[in-house]
Amino acid sequence: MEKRTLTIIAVIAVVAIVIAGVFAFTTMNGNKPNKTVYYSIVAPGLQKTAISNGTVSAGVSWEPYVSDSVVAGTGKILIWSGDVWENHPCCVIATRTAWAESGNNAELLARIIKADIVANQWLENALSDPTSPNYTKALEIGAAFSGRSTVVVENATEHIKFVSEITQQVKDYMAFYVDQFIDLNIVTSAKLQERGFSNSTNYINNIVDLSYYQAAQTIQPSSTILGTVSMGYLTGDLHQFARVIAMNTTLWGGQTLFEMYGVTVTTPNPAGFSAGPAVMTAFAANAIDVAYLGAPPALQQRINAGTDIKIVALANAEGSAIVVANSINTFADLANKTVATPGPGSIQHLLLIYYANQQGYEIRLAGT
Amino acid sequence: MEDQKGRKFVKRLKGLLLADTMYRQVLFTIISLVVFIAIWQIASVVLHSDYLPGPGKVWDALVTSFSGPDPIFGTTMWENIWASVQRFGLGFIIAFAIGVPAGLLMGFSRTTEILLKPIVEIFRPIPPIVWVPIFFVLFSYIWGPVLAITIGAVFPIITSVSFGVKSVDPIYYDAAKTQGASRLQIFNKIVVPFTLPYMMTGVRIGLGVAWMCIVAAEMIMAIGGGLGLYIWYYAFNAPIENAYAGIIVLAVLGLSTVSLAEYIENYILKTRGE
Repeated sequence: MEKRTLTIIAVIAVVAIVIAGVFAFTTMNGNKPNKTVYYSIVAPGLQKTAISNGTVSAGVSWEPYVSDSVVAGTGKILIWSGDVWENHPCCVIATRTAWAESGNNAELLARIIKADIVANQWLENALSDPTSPNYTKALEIGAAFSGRSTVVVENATEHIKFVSEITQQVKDYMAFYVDQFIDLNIVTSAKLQERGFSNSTNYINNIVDLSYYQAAQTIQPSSTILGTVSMGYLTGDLHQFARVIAMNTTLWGGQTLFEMYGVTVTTPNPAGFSAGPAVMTAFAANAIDVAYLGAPPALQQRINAGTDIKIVALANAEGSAIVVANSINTFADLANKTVATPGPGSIQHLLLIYYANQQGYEIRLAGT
Repeated sequence: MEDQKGRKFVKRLKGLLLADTMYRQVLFTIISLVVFIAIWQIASVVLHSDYLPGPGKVWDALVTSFSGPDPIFGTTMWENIWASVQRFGLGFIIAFAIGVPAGLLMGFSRTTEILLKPIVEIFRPIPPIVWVPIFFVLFSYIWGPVLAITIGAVFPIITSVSFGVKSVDPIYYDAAKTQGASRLQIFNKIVVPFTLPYMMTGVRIGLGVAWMCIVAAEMIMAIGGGLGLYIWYYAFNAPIENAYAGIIVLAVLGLSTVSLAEYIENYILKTRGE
């Protein structure tokens, strides 16, 4: 008797849960707005395959992953980041504040920046003239570093601006990024204030330190090595081409450009870091002194994780894009489809959200 | 008088603490947790790092994660748990369905063991995370992550089950055969009850490994979110207290699944124990 009652209760409970589940599921689907585009986190290296085999309908990533799809013919550009935000900063050089402010490290940092400036100028000159021998050289160095063909590198570099200077426009963009992160709740105003910053502009004025860049202007090559710097960077990222050029020894008479300016650059992670957040974690672990990384992870983790860094120069501007499958022609074609992104918090993800909103679409995690 | 009372009290206390009673278990569990949380609190104050927030901050993050959608993913912790449990459950069931027969065969038949062992030994030490991108491309986004969990859980089950079968004393087979037992009867009455505890050991280890794979499995295209995605994202992107909150949820889920496995084990042993 008792057993039977228990069984009945159990059956009723299961039925109730199933009904509730079905109800919740249908109402959830019913409430879905039509103007939704879904995102899913897919590492840039896998996006080309995911787009070509139909797993996703589009991907947003940085170079050379964008050109991977384009050159292979498995995807095409929907929009470049530079078309949405002209001259927007992307990768930056950041430094651990405690390191930069001790000993003669400020001097070493200025020398690193000097090498970055010279390398970026060399790149801009080389790439501006396809007939020059340096043009071919640049493509070959980029191909060796990124493991791509020179065709992919040529295509990739067309949409990257290699600049080192942080202008007022760049700072305004960074403040705009921070405001976007606050809108998206990735960073909160409360946390910003907890770290001692009243607003995004005040924060950018603090985290961007131009003194090292200014000091770099008068620096001359050094015949002796003045010190060693531990550097972090991303794996195969063509946005950080200046670092690769500066590390090349054939261009600068048997030594690296950093060595020419008196600094030996080492790295705890020769293969490079997979993404900006990992670079920021390496800063938090005191494993690196200086790094090339995307501006957004630097801006977010200074606040969210309290990792004390300064942004001291730019590595590049622009150079990201939304790549779509060949069957997609407009953003509207992506309605209810899935776009691969490197992850919330990246500049590519922000670009997707911003552009989607501009087109009147909302971005949601796939499967929700 | 007073002295005697005191002695009696100490004696009773000793009895309570030394005998394996439920009181003792509960008491010691509480002591262990309280000490752990105290050390955690002290360490967080001493280290004063955002990477080791105190228990209070983590508790707040935990409560927040359940009370509304996460700003990054738009999912609540409940939805993340549900997404992960589905992935985990499917992956583990496949591991169980492959691991138990494979283990039984390898234990029973020397030929199968010789045939399968090299393959098992080659793939066993490979970290499941390696398979994640490969499975994603080969099996797409639903089955790729699920199979990444399967490959983690399947090997402990195979090795435990085959070891269990081999540990059956041959005397039992002979005794059963002389009494005219059929192969099915031998399997049902000797092999299964004997192997069951070993199988459940494999299941318990497999469950643990399967949960360990959840972060790896959800690094690529975790549809509907997931606990692994949540922990992985926040461990790298901060606020770190969210990652700790996810770790606590994962620990509770791990404990729950192992307890469930133990309950099933006891139930089967009881019903088959004749």
